[in-house]
Amino acid sequence: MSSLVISPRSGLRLTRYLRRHAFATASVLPAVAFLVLFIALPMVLVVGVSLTNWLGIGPIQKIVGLKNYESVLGSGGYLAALQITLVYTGTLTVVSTTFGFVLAAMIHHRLRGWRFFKVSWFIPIMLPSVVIAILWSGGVFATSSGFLDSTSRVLGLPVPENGWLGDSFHGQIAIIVTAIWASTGWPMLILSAAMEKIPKEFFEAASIDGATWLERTRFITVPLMWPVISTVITLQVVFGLKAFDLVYVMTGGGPGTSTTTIGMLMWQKAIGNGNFAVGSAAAVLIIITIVPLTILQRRLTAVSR
Amino acid sequence: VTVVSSDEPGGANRAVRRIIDVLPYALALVWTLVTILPIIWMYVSSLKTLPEYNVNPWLPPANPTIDNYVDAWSGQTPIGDQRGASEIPLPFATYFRNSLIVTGGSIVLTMTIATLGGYALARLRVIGRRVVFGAMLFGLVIPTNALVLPVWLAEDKLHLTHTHLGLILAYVGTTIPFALLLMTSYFQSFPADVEDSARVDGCSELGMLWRIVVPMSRGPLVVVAILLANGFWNEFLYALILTGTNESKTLAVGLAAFAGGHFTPYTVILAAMGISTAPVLILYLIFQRQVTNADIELVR
Repeated sequence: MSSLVISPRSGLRLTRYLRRHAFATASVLPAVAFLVLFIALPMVLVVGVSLTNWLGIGPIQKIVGLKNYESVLGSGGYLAALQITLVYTGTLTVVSTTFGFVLAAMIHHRLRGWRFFKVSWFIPIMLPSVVIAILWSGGVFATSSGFLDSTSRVLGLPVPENGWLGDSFHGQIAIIVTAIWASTGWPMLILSAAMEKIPKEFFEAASIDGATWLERTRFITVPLMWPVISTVITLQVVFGLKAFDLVYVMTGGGPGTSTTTIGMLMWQKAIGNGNFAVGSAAAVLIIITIVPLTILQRRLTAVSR
Repeated sequence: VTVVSSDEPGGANRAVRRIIDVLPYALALVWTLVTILPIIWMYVSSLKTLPEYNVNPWLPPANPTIDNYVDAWSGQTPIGDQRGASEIPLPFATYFRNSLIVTGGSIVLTMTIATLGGYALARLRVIGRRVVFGAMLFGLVIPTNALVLPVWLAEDKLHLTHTHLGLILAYVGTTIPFALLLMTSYFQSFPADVEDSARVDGCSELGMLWRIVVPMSRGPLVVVAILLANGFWNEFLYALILTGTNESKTLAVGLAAFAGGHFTPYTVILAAMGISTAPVLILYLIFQRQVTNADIELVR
């Protein structure tokens, strides 16, 4: 670099180089600054705090090494929370992607009124998750006044003894059902956009050959759309793994720890139990769990294309 | 009238065909009812008094009243049937203002930074372009929810917790990788000849971006802004941890606290939910065509 400055010719080249690049580089700097301050730095910070015994107030007292990790992984219930999160995420992903695909197919089929249907089906995406949670826990799952209890009374069907959110089995199902309602709009919209791009000739040729709808879906639509389907699966998996809002409002993680997802566990440790360092250890474990899952899942769906 | 007996093969086929024809409609109608009925029910029920709601939660109100909205807006939450008897006011007017400021500020900052940076990455010579790309992709994979604790720690040291600015900065920071990559891929597909002719006319890079490229991209930019608005308005975890005081809470946090109160009548909660939902719902209904026709290829 120094030789560039000494020679007058290269000095000129350097100014020209800088002038050409300065504006462009400066334009990207704010974005880079935010990335560093709100993602890179917090990552360093969270790892650092997780190695101490800091509770969240006052000065940091001492470094305890991996003790917090032992406690979160051991009696802290991380593995149980992970299992709950994975069941939730798996069910949510499969059901919402399948629903989204069927809904997109109906739009593609130009069902009469498809524009209205499409607008309606995306509406839940616009609602705040807290509103969705209260709407379902208060309107649908509530004991006696809720929709399910009222309907069951009329039809003479049995209801769960402790209410729809009162035992681990029904509680988990209730949250999954709510999450499916809340998130199916995305797969529907994205898959619909992709389906519209498949050239009509493919379907016409297949129809002439006498292929049924299922055969056309199996051999034309799905293979051609696979890259987009895999994107949708990734989106739903990431959405599922970071589950917090619905759980916090609907069950608070209970009864017991039966609906405590990993996100909920982090909150409980850091804020609920007031142990910031243990909460930070849970946060690091969440990052370690989710990043490989996201990358691996992308790889898997990319390979099976 | 010809009667086709069902044991004839033609009759059975026709019945099956009927079902196949009707099935998609039935499914579409059922899912439409499932998606919109709860929202209609929420607004209809919010117009009932608590005693009426308790007797009749499903039929429309006999005498619609906006008392619930008045109570939620002022924060003078009634206990049971007694209006204006709450000890801790939870004013939705304040939460509404907070959400408006935080959402508006975050959108303006995110859109400005992502448009400028995305345009430069797509079109201009950025030093260390590959490094920036790699870093943004890395940021996209990190679950930002897991970073809320250290962000709180840093903002607490800088006295940014319980402020609008603190929440705005956190929202911009956690959204930037997504917004920047989205805008970059958009500008990469933008026709280059438009810019070439502007460049010949002696337009500066910045002038070209603001006076030619951005106005031509109004449609896609509106869609991105609406999706961002939706995300910021509805965000819960960061708002919950970064805004603890009644003065700084956003609607989502205020609503969760409100609904957690043991004596809050469900009808007033419904009104508070209606207030929280209305802005995003109205925005969506105005721009529904742009949003539902958007060609969304990149990750949300």
